[in-house]
Amino acid sequence: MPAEMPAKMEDSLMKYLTPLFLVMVIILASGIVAIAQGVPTNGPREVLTNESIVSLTKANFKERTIITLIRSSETQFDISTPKLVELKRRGVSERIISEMIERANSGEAIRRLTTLRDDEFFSKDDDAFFNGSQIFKELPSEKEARKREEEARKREQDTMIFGSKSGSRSKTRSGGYGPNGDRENQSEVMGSATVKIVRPPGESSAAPKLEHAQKLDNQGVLEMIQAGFSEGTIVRKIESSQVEFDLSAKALSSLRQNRVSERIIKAMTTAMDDSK
Amino acid sequence: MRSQYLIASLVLLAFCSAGAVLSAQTPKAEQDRQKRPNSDATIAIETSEVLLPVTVRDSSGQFVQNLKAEDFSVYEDGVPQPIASFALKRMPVHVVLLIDTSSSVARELDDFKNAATQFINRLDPEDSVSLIRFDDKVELVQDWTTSRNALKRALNRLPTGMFTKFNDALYLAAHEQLGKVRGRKAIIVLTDGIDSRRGAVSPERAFRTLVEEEVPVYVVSKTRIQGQAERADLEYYQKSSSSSVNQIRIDGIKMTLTELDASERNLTRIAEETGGRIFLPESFDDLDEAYQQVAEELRSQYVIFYTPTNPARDGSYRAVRVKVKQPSCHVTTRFGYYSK
Repeated sequence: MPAEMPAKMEDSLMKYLTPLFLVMVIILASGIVAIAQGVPTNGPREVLTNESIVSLTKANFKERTIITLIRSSETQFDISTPKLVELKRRGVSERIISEMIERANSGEAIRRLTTLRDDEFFSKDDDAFFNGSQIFKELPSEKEARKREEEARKREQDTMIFGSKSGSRSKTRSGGYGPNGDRENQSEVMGSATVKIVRPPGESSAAPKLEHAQKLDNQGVLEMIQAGFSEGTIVRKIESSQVEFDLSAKALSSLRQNRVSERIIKAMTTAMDDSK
Repeated sequence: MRSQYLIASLVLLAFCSAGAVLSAQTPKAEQDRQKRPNSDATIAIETSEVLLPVTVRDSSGQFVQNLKAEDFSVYEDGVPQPIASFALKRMPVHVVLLIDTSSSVARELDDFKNAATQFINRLDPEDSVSLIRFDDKVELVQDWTTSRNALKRALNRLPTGMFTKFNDALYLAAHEQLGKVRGRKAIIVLTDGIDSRRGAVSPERAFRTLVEEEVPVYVVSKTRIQGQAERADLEYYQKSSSSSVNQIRIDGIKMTLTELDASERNLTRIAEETGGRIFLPESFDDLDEAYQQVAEELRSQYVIFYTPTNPARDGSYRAVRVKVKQPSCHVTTRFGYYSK
């Protein structure tokens, strides 16, 4: 494009480009929704496992890339203490391990699949293009659900003592254009899609299995310390696990002798606090 | 030489006798189980008496708690049965609390947890509870315990998954967790009942297992709450532009509403035919009330034992009916059982 362009030509160009971009985005959104509704794609979707993460780490993928994959993929992580220790010994960073713990304990990815609200493609300023469109307005049910989530988050933050929560936010870019081609700053507009992933009915040949939740105990905490995990990761693990700690005087003395920090002991005590 | 043969014969005879004695002491059911090849059939627990939990309500829906054994009549396949023994609610109950932790209920999980905690507080101290969660997998989070603190702690730390293996959860709760329990037992499940069809068990098999194991199921269903939310969204989209994306959403919501209706019918059948009950709260504020009613019902149940006049243990289904002398009372119990 020439360095200087007549203003009229620029306006005309924007008038043509804006609806074209709108159409492209709608087509893309339809495709995303259709795919999520079970339209056959090119091959089966990979499920990330502990081994997948180790492979990605050894292939020198950046942490950020691996974390993005964790957040957007179907996962089957084993976050028991021995497996976490194994991951660390095999070179997986704590930041990635923390993300795996977070992912294993939440349904965040499915919400990302089922809503376009947090999809990083649609930045805050991009929403300016859809001013007047009903696609990305917040639904009544979403508004209510969002309120409930915010209330729950606020309750959690009020009582959280240790650890931190990681989250994802859409990138924001400067500049945005309204449908008339004018620069606009729009408030956040959200949208969602109802997604059903349907499989044909029928029993599989595998027998159903009642798994038993592994409870984090004193020994598990010691193993994580000996493996070199940071306090923050250990505390996060304590906060998100089923626990059964021995907090007798003798056991506490043993923990301190093994250099378990007071911060971790406090997290263990909080976890066993029956009034919560 | 002859004495050596005699000693060897005596030793052999001793071993054979010990084996015969041990074999005779093994319950018949255990012998049958050992002979039977691994199959999908439910484990058979030998019993000569049938246990019936019975709930009696008056015309206003209040529990009737002053009845005696002579007020009841039990029929099996239409034939009157003599009542062997009778108790009003004083038998402890083993309760499996099944909690749906899939993505479809993830946003409301805190409400579910709070309601479940209140429910646990309302049980009798002797009642045992275990906690099973189900999403992509079915996991025993807390094994049998009477410790309310242990249960609350387990409830507070429930992770969420993506999909829903509801049928697997029912099957495993009845077969694995309650299969060895004698006496009163119950499953209380909090769910929208929509299975993701990624499990190993069909709805029919799950239902049959519940009947075989004689487990009443109390359902606190989310279908009404979710249905309301979906209808609000449907109305919104129908009033919005008629774009193709909107139409996809409208179709998706209609499909969801159809699934919710079918799920509610299925849950109702499970609850009623196993002798339990279904609760359909219209909002999250009603969850606590639903759980309170379940706890009250468990406390107010009669337990009737009878020995079937039909001695055959052929695996056939026996239809059961219980009546009381007071015509205005409504009696609830399971529809039947499989003789074994």
